[in-house]
Amino acid sequence: MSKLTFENVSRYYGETCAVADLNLTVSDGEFLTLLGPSGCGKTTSLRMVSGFVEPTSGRIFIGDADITNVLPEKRSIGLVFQNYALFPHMTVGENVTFGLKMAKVGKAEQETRLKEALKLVQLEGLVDRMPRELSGGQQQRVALARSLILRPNVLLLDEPFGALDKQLRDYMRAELRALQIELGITTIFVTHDQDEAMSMSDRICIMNHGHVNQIGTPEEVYRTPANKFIAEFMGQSNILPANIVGSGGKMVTIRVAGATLEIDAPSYMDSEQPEVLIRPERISLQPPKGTGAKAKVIDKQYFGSLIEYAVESQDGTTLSVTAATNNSNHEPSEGDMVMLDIDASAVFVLPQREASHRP
Amino acid sequence: MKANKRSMTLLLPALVLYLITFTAPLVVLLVLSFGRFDKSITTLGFHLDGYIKFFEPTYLRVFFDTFFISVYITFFCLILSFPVAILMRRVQPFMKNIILFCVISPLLTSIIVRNSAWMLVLGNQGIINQFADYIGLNDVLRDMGLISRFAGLPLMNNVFGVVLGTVHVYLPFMVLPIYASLSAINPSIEESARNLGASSMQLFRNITWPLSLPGVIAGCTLVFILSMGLYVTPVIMGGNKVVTIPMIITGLVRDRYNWPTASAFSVMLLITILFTVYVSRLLQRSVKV
Amino acid sequence: MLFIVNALIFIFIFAPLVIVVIQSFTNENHMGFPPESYGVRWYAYVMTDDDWQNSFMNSLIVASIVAPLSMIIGGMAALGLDRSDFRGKQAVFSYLIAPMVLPHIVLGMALFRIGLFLDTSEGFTLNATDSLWFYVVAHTTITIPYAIITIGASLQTLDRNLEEAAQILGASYFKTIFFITIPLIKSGLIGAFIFSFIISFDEFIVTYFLATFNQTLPIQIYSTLMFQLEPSIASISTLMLALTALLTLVLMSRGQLVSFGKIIK
Repeated sequence: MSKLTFENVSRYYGETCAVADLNLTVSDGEFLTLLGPSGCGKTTSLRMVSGFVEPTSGRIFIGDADITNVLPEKRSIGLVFQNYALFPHMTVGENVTFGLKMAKVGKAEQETRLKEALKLVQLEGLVDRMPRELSGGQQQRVALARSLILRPNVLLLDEPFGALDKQLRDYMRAELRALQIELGITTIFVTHDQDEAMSMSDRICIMNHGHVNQIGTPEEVYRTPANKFIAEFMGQSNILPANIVGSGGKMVTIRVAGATLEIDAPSYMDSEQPEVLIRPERISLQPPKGTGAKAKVIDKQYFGSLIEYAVESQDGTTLSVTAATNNSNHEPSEGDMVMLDIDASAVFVLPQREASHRP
Repeated sequence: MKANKRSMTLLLPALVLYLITFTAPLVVLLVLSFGRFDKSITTLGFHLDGYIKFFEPTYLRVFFDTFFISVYITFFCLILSFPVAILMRRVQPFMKNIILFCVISPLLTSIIVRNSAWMLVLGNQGIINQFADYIGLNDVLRDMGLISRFAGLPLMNNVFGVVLGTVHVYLPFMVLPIYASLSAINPSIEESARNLGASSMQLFRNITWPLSLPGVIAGCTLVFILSMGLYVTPVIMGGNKVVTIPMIITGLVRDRYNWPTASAFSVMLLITILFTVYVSRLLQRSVKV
Repeated sequence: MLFIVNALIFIFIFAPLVIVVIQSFTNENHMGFPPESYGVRWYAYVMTDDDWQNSFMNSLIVASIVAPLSMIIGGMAALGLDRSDFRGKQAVFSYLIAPMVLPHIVLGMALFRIGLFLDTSEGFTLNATDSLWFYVVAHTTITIPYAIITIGASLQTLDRNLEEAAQILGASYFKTIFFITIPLIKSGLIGAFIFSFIISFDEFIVTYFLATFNQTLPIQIYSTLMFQLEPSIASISTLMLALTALLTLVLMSRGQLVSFGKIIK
C-alpha cells in the first residue's frame, strides 16, 4: 500500500480546463473522496490516476514512483466502475481471476486467491454464475473482488453506488468502508452525493470547475466551509447577510435575521457586512416570549423523523429550520409567530474571497 | 496517445487493399478516358474523343433512356415502399421482424436468380401468357392486331420488364430508409392529429409524408444510383430491346476493347451519380430546416 | 386496406421465387408452368454436370475465402475507426464504404483493366484475369464496406468500460481486444462473415468482366440463361435460394438483420 500524490496536475480539452493545477496527497491507507457536481473535474482526476486520461501537465506518483507515463495495465490500480463493467461473457470466477490470468499467475495460486477474494466479499458459492444472474449488490462485490485480488496499491471507486437502491446503498456503503479499513488500502472515491462522502471518508476534497475548493475531514467541510459554494453543496444551509455591530477582543457582535449574537471573531474577517452560514438544525423555534428575534412560520413540512419549517423574520429574511420530531419540542403551525433561538457557536462567517481555505 | 496510434494502424490493411483495388483502378480509368482509340489500339494522351462520343445523339439518347428508366424504377419503388413501411410501424415487434425478414431476405438472393424467376412469369411461355392463352385473351388480342401472331403479352423484353425486374430487386433499399424515418416519428403526434379530427389522407399529407422526407430522399437517391449502374437486369429483362449506359460500357470493353470510350462513359456515369448525391444532400438539408 | 395492399406487395416479392422452386422439380425437358410431371432429374443434372459442378465449386471457394478475409480486414478497419480520433476520420470512413455506392460495373471494368495489366506486365506476370485469386481480391473490396458497417454497429453498442476494466486489470491493448472486444462483438463478426459470403457468392458483374473460362455460379446461370431457358436454371436457383435462406436465418437469430437495415441508411 502506498500514498498517492498529484503534483501540479492539469488537464485541458482544447481550451476547456477540466482540472486546474491539482495538488493533493492521499496518505497510505486513507479513504479520500473527490466530491463535486458533474463536470467539476473529479472523474477526469480519477481517470488520470487510472491512466485513461493523460495530464496536460504535472506528475502523478504512487509512493515514490512516477506513474504519469505508465500504461494503465502496468499501474497496479484497482478500479470499480459505476456500472461495475463485469465481463458479461465470463463467469464470476473468470471475472475475478481475469487479472491473475493476465499476470500469468499459476492455476493453483489462482484458485487459492479466488477463494480468498470471494470469501472477503462474501460471495462463496457463486463462482460459476454469470454476471447477469446476480443482483446489483452481488455484482458490485464481484467488481470489488476482481480489483482486490490483484492487491493493488490504490483502489479507485467511480460512483459505485449509483446503480443501487437506497437501502442496499446504505448497507454496501458500510460494508465497503469496513473492508477498506480492514485492508488498509489507499482509496479514492468519486461521488456527487455529499451524504456518501460524509459517511465514508477520512477526508473530502471538494472540487468545482476543475479547482479544488477545500480539503478536509467531513466535519470540517460541513462546519467551516471555505466558501458559499461548499456551504450550499454540503447539506441544507441558511446563508444570510449579517452586520457587524460591535467588536471586543476575540469576539464580535453581529446582527442577523433580526437577532443579535456574540460570536468568535474569525481571523479572516475583512468586511463589515459578511455572509454567515447557519445550518437549519442549529436554529430552534421557541414560543414567542421575551426579547429575542421574532419570526413567522410560512411553511411547514413533515418528514417523519424531522420537520422542516420555513420562517420569515421581522427584517424579511427567509430561513429554513429543521427540528427533530419529539414531544419536548415546541411545534408551531403555519402562520404562528415564533422566537428564533440561534446557537451562537453555530454561526460561521463565510470567507469573502473564493480563495481556498484550509483550517 | 499511444492507443490512438495503435488503433490507426488497424486501418492500414483496408487502406492498402483499397489503394490497389479501388483507387488505382479508378485512376487508371480516368487516365484511359482521355486516351484515343484508333484501329483497335489505345494510345494515351489528352484527347476528348470518348467524351465527345458521349454527346453524340445516339449515346445521349441511351443516357436519357437510362436516366428515365431509373426515374421510373425509383418512382415505383417509392409507391410500393410506403404501405410496407407504414405497416411495419403499426404492427407488434414480432410481426415487424417477420416483415423485416421478408423485405431483406430477397435482397440477399442473387439478382440473376430473381431475374430468371421473372422470366418464368413474364416471358412468352411464362405463366401469365400461358394463362392468357388458356382463357383466350391472347387470341382476342391477336385478332385485333394488338400483339403479333407468335408473341404473347409484351410483359418483358421492354422497358416495363426492366422496370418491374429492377423494382423487385431494389425495393428493400427504399423500404428500409423510409421505415427508419417513420419510426423516428413520435406516435403521439399522429394520435393527437387523429384526435384533432384529421382524416387518413390529411394525416398522410400533413404529418407522415413531410416527416418521412429524409428517408424518402435517402431511399430515392440510393435506388436511383443503383439503377443507373445496373447491368444484368436490363440485359435479362430487356432482351436486346432496351439499351442502357452500363450495357454500352460493357459491350465496348468486352467485345471491342475500346477502353477510352468505355472509360469516358464510366466517368460520365460517375459524374451523374456524384451530382445526384450532391442534389440529395441539398434536399436533405432543406427538409431538415 | 393497408393489409390487402401489403399482401399484394409481398406476393409480388415472393411469387416469382415460389414459382422457381416449383419449376425446379419438373421432370420435363423444358420449362412450363405448372410442370406436367415432377421429379428431381434437373437436380441430379446440375449436381453431376461438370460445368455446374465447377462453377459451384469456384463460387464456394471464392466466397469461403472472401468471407473471413473481409471480416478480418473490415473488422480491423471498423475497430480502427471506432477507437481512433484524428482529423479527416469522416473522410476515411466515406472512402472505406465508397465501393458500396460506386456502380459495380465501373469497378468491374477498372479491375479488369488492372487484371489485364498484371497478366501481361513483364517481370511479374501474375495471371490475374480468369483466376480465382483475383476474384477473391475483387470481392473482398466489394464486401469490406458491409463488414465495416456491420461490425461498426456492434462496436457502438459495446460498453467501453469493459475494455478499460480489462486494461486496468493488466491486459495489454491486444489482449484486451482478444479476450474482451472480440467475444463481445461476436454477433457482428458473424454477421459480417455471412453478409460477405452471400454477397461474394451472388456477385455477378465484376466477375463477369474478369471471367472467361473460370466461371462462377451466377455467371454460369447467366450464360445458360442467354442460351436457353433450361430447367437446370430453376434447380440451381433453388439451391442458391436454400443456401441464402439458411444463412439469412442464422443472421436473424443473431439479430444482425437489423444491422443490415443500418447498412442501407
